[in-house]
Amino acid sequence: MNKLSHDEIVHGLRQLPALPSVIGEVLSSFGNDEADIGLICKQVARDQSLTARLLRVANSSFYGLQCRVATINEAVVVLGFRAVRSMLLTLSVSSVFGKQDCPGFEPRAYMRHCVGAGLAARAIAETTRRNPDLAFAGGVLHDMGQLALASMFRGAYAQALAYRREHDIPLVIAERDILGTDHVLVGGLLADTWNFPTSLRSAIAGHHAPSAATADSLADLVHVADAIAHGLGLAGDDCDLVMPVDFTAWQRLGLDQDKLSRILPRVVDGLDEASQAFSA
Amino acid sequence: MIRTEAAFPGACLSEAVVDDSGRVLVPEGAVLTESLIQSLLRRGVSELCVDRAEEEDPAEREIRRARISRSVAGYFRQAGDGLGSMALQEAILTFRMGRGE
Repeated sequence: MNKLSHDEIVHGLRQLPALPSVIGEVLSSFGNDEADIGLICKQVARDQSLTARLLRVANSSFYGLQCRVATINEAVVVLGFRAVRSMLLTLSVSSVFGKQDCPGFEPRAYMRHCVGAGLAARAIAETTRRNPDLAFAGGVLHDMGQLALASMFRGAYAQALAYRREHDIPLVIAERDILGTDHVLVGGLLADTWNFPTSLRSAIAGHHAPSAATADSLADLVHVADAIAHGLGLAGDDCDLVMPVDFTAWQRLGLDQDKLSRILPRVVDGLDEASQAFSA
Repeated sequence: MIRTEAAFPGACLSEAVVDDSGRVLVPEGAVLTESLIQSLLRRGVSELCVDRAEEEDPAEREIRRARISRSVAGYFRQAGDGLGSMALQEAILTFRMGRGE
């Protein structure tokens, strides 16, 4: 098939539904320590669908709250603004894409892998003293370029998925061979289109080449979290595989067997509840 | 009462495991994992009381361990032999063996 041109991809991304309008405010708060949290809560509360989904996740066993939260303000008080902000972002992105019907693309497997990577990223962040809520969002969203490709170029992406199975190669290689692009590049373009903060953009656009990113970015963390999710086979897909773990990223994070022995149970034990919460 | 080397992950202790001075090493009701079994063997605990008295056939255990090894090696089939890949594979293999799944 003809490879996708840059213009075709950018045009396709612009045709995607916009994120809920309040997410613009949420995104701008990433670089602004003085953001008006009360105003953001008020704006989120006007979006009934988003509010309902957020409260469902906040009250799920994933967060294990002692009492139910009934409003956005209560969720912010109990969970903290950072956690609510990450939750809003991940829920909004999944609502944009809706149901997928691209042949060969398994939404449930996709979600389990991404939520698993989110849990791994959060656990690594706590071990390495980074922001765990931002890491979780980076992990959950790291493969959103796959969702975009499956939505925008359904037939071509189905070919790439079939080609991967046939040749037993990493997805990113199959995408480049068939489409001339990959989900990492498309995810980065989508992050630009939606004005994601630099930290999240680097996690999405740099998770297959983290050594090119700066040491303080989330790319290292999400790269290793992605490898953990693949290595544990969380998607339940027999053609799942781990790509070589980047040496620089591994060294920067300073992980060892002791730290990994504490991270892995948190990923596996939290997966079912978290997947259910974020799929609802 | 079963031999510790024949205990299998998932079985539940019906009596606490105590050391020579009577201190509880593992409480009653604890669920055995592969790593816990190995730890008890290293401490010289030769017998355990579990809710289900059946023992896992050593041959079955080897089959299970081989299945886990193959599964993990399968996911790492293209991960190469770099430091991070090897360390992560080792950690996941140890974790899954410990869980017995």
